[in-house]
Amino acid sequence: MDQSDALQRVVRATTRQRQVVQPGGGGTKGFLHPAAAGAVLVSTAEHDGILHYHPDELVIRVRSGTRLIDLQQTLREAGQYLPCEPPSFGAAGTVGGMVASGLAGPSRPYVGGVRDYVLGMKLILPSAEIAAFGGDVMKNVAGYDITRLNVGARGSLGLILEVALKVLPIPEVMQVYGLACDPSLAQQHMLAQRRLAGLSASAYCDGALLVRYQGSEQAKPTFEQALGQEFQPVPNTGLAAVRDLNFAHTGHLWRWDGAVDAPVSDQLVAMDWGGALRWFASDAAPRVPAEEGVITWFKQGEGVLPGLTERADGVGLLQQRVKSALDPNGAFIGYPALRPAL
Amino acid sequence: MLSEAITSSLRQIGDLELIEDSSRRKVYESDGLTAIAQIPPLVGLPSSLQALQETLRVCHTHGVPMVARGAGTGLSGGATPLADGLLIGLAKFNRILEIDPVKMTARVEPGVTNLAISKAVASAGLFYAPDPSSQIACTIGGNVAENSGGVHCLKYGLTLHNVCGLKIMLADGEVLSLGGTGLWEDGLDLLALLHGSEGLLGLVIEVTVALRPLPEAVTVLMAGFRDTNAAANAVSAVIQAGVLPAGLEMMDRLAIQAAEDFVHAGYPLEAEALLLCELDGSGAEIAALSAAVRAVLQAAGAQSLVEASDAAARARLWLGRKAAFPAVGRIAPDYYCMDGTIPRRHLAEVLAAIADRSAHYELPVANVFHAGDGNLHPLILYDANDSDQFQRAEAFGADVLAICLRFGGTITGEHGVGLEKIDQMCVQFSPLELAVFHAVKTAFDPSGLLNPGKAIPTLNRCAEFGAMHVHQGAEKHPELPRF
Repeated sequence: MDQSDALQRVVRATTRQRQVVQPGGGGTKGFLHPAAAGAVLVSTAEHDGILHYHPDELVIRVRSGTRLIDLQQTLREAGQYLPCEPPSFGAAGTVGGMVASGLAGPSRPYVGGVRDYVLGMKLILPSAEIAAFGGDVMKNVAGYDITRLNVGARGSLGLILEVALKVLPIPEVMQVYGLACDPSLAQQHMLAQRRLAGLSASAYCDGALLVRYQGSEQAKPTFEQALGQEFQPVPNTGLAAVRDLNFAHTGHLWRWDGAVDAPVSDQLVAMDWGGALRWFASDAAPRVPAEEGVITWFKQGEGVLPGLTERADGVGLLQQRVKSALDPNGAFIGYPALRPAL
Repeated sequence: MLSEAITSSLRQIGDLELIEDSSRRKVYESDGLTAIAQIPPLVGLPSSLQALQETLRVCHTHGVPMVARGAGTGLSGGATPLADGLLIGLAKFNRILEIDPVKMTARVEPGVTNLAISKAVASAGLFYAPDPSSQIACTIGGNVAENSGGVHCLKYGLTLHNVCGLKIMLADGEVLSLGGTGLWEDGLDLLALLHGSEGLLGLVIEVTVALRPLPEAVTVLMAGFRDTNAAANAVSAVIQAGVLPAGLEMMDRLAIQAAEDFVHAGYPLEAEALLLCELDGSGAEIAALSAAVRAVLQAAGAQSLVEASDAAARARLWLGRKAAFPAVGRIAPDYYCMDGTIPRRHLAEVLAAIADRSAHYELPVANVFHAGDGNLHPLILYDANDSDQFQRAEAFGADVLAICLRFGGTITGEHGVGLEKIDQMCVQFSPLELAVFHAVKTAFDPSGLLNPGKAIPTLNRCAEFGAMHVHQGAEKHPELPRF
C-alpha cells in the first residue's frame, strides 16, 4: 500500500537530524553496502503494489517495495517476463532493490540489463521532496535521463518510490544445454558461439559451460545443430546458481568486468555474460591486467578485507561531482565503488 | 561577435579550419529545424582531437559558449548556433577506427554517419540496429546526443541500448572514457546519462557501438485498415499474441497519399490507416511467424494484406514510410514535425484531439506513428511565408504537446527538446525536477558553456512562459507555486 507520505516524513526527519539515509527494501542485498555505519535504514518494504499494468503496451508501473516474486508472478500470468532476469538473494527481494542495485542476470549481453528496461521513476530526493522522471512510455528524451542514472546508484541519489518497467512476452522455448569442460575451453566455445541466433545466456560454473537458447520451437533444431552434439539439455538451475552467486567459494567475492576475449585465469570460480563477467573468490584481491578488465570488491567472505579504495580516476571524480551536485548535504549514503588498493 | 583576441587565439591552433567568411558561415545557420536560424559569428572545424581540445580550452578560458554540430539533421534546434558563441563542426571526425567481429563492436569517430556503420560491418555479417530516417546523413555523435530512435526500436532499442562505450570531452578539454570493455561500470551510470543530453554535458569524441548479427530472414507485412482505431487495435493484438516485431509502423490517410504520390510504394490509397510490420528471425521460423501475424491482422479487420519477403520489395514498402517527411513536404510549402510519445491505449483519443485542433487552426495534419512504441509524429502542414499560418502552426504544435502530456505521455520521444520544445519542458517538469537537471549540468559543465539555452529551461524562462506544470497526466495543480 501507499507509504509515500510516511517515507517522506521519515526521510525529512532523518535528514533534519543530520543523520544519513540508507534506502533499503527487502534486505536481501545488504551485503552491497557494508560500511554505511551510523546511517538510518529507511525501508520501502511496506510500500508495495502494482499501480498499472497494460500487457499489450509491454509496460508495468509498480511501487518500489513490491516483491520481485510477486511482480514476476503477475507478469507470468499475462505471458510476460522481466527480460533483465535479476538475481534473487531471497524471497523478500524488491523491485526497488533490483533497480537500485542494477544487478542483471545472464541475458545481459543479449537482451539487456536492468537499465535497459526501466522507463520511469518517482523518487524522494535528498531534499526530501518528491520528483518524477521518465514516464510510462517506451521513448522519452525530455530532460536528462535521471531515471537511468538512478539504476545501479544503490540509493545514493534518492529513495525510489515507483518504477515503470518495459516487459516482454515469455519466449516460446527457453532451454539450457551443458558441456563439462575447463574454463579455457569454455571461453573458446563462448567466443565461437556468440552469433548463434537465439543465444540468450552463456555462463560457466562448477566445471560446466551452460548455454541457453530462447525463441521459437521451429528454430530450436537449427540452434542445437550449430551447438553440436556434445552439448546436452540440462535444467536451468545451473544458470540461476551463477546469477544468484550460489556456487561454492571461499574468501571474498570479487567481480571482474572486461573484454570477452581477455585470457581466462585458472583462479576464476564462475563466468557469465559470455565471458564479460567473471567471479573470483579469494582473501586477497585477484591480479589481472588492468587494460583487459576491472576488478571490484563485491561481497565479504570470512577473512579480513584487504585494503580497498574508492574509484579516483577522472570518471570516478565526475561520479562524485554528480553525487555532490544532486545531494549537496550528503543526506543519503554514498556509493562505495570499491577497488583493491594498489 | 567574438573578440579579435579570441579569434586570433583560435587561428593559432593547427588542424583547426576556421570559417570567418559570412557567406560560408550562413551554411551553418540552422539544423533540421529551419524555422529558427542564427548565423554563427565563427565556425571551427577541427580535424584532430588535439585541435578540438585546444579549441575547447581557448573557449573555456575566455568564457565563450560552444555549440557542437554533427550533420545538422536534428529536428529540434539542438545545433542552432548562438549569436555570441563558437559553432564546432565535428564532421571531419569521420573515420571508423576499429571493427571487432568477435566482440561484435565497432569503434568510430563521432562524425561517421549512422548508415556508414551498418554498411562497413555488413561484410562481417553484422549491423547497427538504430536507424533514424535520416540515417544516410545523421552522425553517430548526434545520435548519442539525441538518443535517436528509428523504426526498429521496439525490438532493438534506442541508441542508448546499442552503445557500449563513449569517449567524451568536457567543456574544459578533459577527456573521459565511459564504459567500453565490459558491460558494467562501477559507480553511477554516466554512459546512460550522456545519451540524449543534447550536447550540454560533454562533446562525444568516440563511440563504441554494439553490433548484432544480421537476421537470417526478414519479411514485411503491410495491412490497410478502414479506420485508425482498427489499426491501433491490430497493433495491440500483435503484441498480445506474444510477437515482438522488428518494426511496427502506422500511417494515416494523408501520410499514405503523400508517400504514395512521392515514391509509388504500392500503398493502399483507399485505406484510412496502414500498418507496416517487419518480422525477422531464423529461416526456420519466419514462415510460421508470418502466418501467425497475418492471422492476427486479418482477425483485427485488415482490408488488404501484402507481404514482401525479398530485399527489393521490402525496401519499396519501407521507402514510403522513410520518405514520409519529404513526401509531406511536397504537398505543403512547410511542415512542422511533432514528436510526442503516448501510452498506446490512448491513441484513438489523442488522434481525435489532434483532428479537433486541426479543424480549429484550419491546418491539415498528416500522422506518422512508430506504433509499436507509441511515438507519434503529427506533421502540421502550413506556409511559413504566411505569418498568420506560421503562428497558427506553432500554437497547434504546442497544443499537440499538451495533449500528449494530458494522456500521460512526453513532449519528445526521439527528436529532443533543443530550442523547439524548451517552453513545453516547463509544462512536463516541475521547478524541483528542472533544478535536478540544472544540478547535473553543473557537475559536468560548471561554467555553463556547452550549448547554453537548449534542452533545459531556466526557472526564469518558465516563469515568463507562464505554463503550469502538468503532473503525470493530471490537470493543472493550482497549488503549485508560481515563481
